[in-house]
Amino acid sequence: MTGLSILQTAYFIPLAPLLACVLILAFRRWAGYEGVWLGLLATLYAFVHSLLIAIGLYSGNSPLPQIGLQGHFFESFVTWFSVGSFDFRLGILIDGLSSLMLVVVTLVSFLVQVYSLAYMRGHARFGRYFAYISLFTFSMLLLVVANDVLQMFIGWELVGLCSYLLIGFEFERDAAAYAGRKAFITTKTADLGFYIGLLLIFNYLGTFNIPLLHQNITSVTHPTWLLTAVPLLLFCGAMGKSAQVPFHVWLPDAMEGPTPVSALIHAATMVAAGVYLVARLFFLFEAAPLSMEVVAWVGSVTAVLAASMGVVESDIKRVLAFSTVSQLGFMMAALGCGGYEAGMFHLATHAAFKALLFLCAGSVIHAVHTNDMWKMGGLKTQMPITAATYMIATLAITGCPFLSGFFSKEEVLSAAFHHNQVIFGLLIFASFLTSFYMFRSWFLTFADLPRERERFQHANESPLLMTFPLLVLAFLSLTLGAFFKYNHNINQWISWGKPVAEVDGGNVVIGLSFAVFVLGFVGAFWVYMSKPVKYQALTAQFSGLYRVVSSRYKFDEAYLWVIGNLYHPFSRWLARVDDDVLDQKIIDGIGLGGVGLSWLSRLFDDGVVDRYLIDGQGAIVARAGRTLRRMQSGLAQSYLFWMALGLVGMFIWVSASH
Amino acid sequence: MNSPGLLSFLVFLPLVGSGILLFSQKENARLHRVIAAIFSGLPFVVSLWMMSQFNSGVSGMQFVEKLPWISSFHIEYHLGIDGLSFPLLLLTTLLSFISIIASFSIDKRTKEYFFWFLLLETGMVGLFVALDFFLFYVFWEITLVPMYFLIGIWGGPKKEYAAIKFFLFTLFGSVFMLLAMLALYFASGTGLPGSERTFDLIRLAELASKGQLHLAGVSAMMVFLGLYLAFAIKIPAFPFHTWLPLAHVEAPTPVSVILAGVLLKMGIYGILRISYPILPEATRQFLPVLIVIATINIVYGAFCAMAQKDMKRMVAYSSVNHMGYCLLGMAAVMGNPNAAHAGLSGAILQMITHGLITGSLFLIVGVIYDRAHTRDIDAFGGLATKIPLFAGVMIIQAMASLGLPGLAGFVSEFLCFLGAFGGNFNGHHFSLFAGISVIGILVTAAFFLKMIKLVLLGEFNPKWEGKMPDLTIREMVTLFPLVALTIVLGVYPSLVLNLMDDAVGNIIRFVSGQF
Repeated sequence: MTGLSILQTAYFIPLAPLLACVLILAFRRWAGYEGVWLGLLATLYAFVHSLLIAIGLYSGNSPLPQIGLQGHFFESFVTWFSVGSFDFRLGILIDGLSSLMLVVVTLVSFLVQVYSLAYMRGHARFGRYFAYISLFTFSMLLLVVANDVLQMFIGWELVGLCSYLLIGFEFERDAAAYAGRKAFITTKTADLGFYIGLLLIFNYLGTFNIPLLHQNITSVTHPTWLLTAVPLLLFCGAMGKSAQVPFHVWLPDAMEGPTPVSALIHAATMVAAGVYLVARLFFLFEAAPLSMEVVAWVGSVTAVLAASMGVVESDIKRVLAFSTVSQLGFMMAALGCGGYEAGMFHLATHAAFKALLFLCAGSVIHAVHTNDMWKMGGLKTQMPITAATYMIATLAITGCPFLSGFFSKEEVLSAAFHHNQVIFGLLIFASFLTSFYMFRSWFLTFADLPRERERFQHANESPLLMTFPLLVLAFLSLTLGAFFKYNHNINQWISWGKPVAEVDGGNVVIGLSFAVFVLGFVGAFWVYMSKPVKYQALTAQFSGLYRVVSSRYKFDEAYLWVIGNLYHPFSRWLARVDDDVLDQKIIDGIGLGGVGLSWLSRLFDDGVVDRYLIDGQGAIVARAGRTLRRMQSGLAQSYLFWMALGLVGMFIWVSASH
Repeated sequence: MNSPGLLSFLVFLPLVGSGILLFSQKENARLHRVIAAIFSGLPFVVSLWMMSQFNSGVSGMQFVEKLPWISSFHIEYHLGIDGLSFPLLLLTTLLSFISIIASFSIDKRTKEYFFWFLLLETGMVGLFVALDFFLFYVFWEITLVPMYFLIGIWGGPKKEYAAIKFFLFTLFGSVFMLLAMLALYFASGTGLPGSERTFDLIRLAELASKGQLHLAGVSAMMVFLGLYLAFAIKIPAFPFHTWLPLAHVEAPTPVSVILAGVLLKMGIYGILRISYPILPEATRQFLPVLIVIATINIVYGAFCAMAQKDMKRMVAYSSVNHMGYCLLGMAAVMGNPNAAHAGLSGAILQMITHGLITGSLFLIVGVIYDRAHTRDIDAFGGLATKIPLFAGVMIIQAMASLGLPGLAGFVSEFLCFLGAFGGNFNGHHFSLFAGISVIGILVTAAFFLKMIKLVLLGEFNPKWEGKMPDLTIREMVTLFPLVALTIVLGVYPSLVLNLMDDAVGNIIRFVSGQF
């Protein structure tokens, strides 16, 4: 394929998984187990196509035709529907940013599907699972290639649906069903901000198209409130999807979903959509310094809070969930500090090592049938590949020199260092906690002696279908960082073609970063590995702090309190007002008043009109009444009858008066 | 393209069916069903065919029929459709047909049942094609009587109370419509030669746009309010909505489908067809009130739905919420051109999507009720494992109702919001109210997810072991087309939006007075 045609056919990247989803759903009874290969095939195609695009852009073989954003891009769209003279469009926007994201999403999705072949084998809803994964892949790609903010929102909501369906995939368990609903409602709450942001964009900026928006923002002077409100509202949505404080509460519970789902959706791709949104619309944020500050602060506070919660967690998946929240905080902080490349760089490396961590956790859970790390221990002998790859990922995320996380985190920290020392301090502290809880989780799971012999003895290394993705991701965790760092072209490529500002934190950043990595490792070793183990003594000594952290700062309690004491009572009160007061008292009261009035008029009719005026004709009236009553089954006709009579009367009167 | 008599054919075909029913044997339920299916199926097929004949590029009325009727009062038999009424006509014939199929499960007094049902269809179709106010009024009243009996005879335990409440409520509004109609008639001319009076809605709008309608200021507002009262009760707009939950709970499933799917739209349609073009000045004055009412409908309806235990009541209150979106979109008419177009298109599209989605939600609740004889939301649990097909349909339609992109509800709702956010009148911006109204989206999501969770997910309630067969063929026939349309309109809304573009432009021009 030539350089341009590979871009023009990029429509097929999202559409292939959609087609796979439909086919799997339609034929899953007939095709049985084998049908799911369609999903893998479609995703593999999408991956290869994305990779070709990325290579083309990187090597310069696919020159991007359009200029006018901050650099070069390729855009193509169709009109979806029009209202008046306004066109709502769907399309694709290919540039460095989206091509990077395409590769990340399709690769992780493919590996996760390979892994799931073994992990989900024998599940009653095996086919449905793969259909959902394909639907997710489609939705995520729709979001990634969007040239239009509305299209992003559509993909955004659809990945939310997939997340809901997959968290609650084992919906027979109440916990899973509740977790799915919690995720949906929490992110939907945040999405209201996104929604209002769209309303603002439509009415004040006049287009949803991203390149046009960029043009508009840079060439027209807008009031500050608008420039600030739009990115902040969009960021509100991003906070929900990327689980930033205070919307982070859904992500730990999302671990109720099957572990490969956690790897794909709740670690590598969907939760990174918020970061991607900020990066994609970076020019909006840059136009409003306040919004950048908010992004930076929310990100760094999230990084610290989530990391601290990870320290006291005993469920291996939830440790990783808190870690994800924390790392997403790093990315947000980087973006907020102006480190555009740093944020996206960290997103890419994080996708690899965090997906790896989750898949390793899945491998362990598959073997020992529990999430509780206190029931594991010593598994490195039983599961050498899993233990080794988990260690590689741990070293990558904690910032061990020359692994992928080391380079990306360094860029993040540098960006913060140059922007704001306090934010930098928060991130350094979060890095220390990261190192601590990650090594803790490795020690508790793989090192030491097995704490439950029964489980330990039955644990075996997972089959090749599961270990193969681990090895691929481990390789990426080892090499990706250096590859990015030492290929200057790549930085150019991610950064939308605009000149890259060399962020070099210098020795302070590298030194501190390395110091907290070592400190975290030593700390975790000292607390959990050196005899006698000290965590009981430590938790007793700092019991107050421990309680606060392990209660997760009471975010959940606060929300439940609001829901239980304000939301539900208010809706019940309103429903009662509607039924008892408005309907039963006011409306029926008016009706009763009408009845009373007609009773009075009957009294008058009977007592005055009838008796004194039309006495003689009473018998006829009575007979007529009886006849009429027989003809009628209810009030309805009599009303109609009188109405028609009245109408006729009115007409007679009207025509007589002219 | 004009086919003479086509609209009359559509209007009176169901009436012919009910006439034929009168001559059928009382016990032969199967025959009644066949007759009803034929005489509701044919109008649907004809209206579908009309889609190929309807020219969406033409501004103004198509398929027009105009005959003198009561000439001493200039009352005409005047029919026609444009981009506003045609989508509603399609919705009416589709939902009528589907409801008739869904009514096959009714075995009590089938002859009368289908007689009233077909008569109801004539009323509804007639209303949407009538271009003479008097004729409109006649059809408006015609729909009332069959509905009264359908609820009152075939309804639930409190059917009489519900039926009479529905009837009196609507009739109360009709009285004011009658007065308003007469006022418009007398304002339309002096009655002397050269200045004849008229009930013709098109003519009335023309007169209004030229300032020749002798109605202004307070009296115009009185007329507007009279009309509004009649329409608001039907929509139903706060605070005139209390008949709705009751009527829905008591009505049999197919009647609920028609009630929510079509009858509520008569109110919105009336405002857009009559109040907006004929009383532009009063309309503009009223917009700030309308946006407030819309917001109340949306937020209040959603919160009331949240608290319901009876699923049918929940869906009924969700209708209050969803009709609020229509009002929201309509309030945008004086906004910037993009917003006004988006708002009005959204309002009209919302009528269609609400008809499809809420219609099927009532069918879905009916499916459960037929099996379990309860609609208590707490009585179930874990049904998804036993009846996956049903679960799939319910989840799709619930998601559509809460506005998930890709399904029909999203586009219409979003357009209403886009419009309302840019709506304003005399410098009063409506964006605050649009902003408050998004709360309704969240609460709607909350109660539909609650419904899904309690009914479909979690552990299977052993009480229903063996009592919950999956969808029957008849239920599939009624539900699947609606689900398919929900998806098709979600992906390709142009199918309906293209029809209405010119009509929307007309309404905006009439209200704003800018030609």
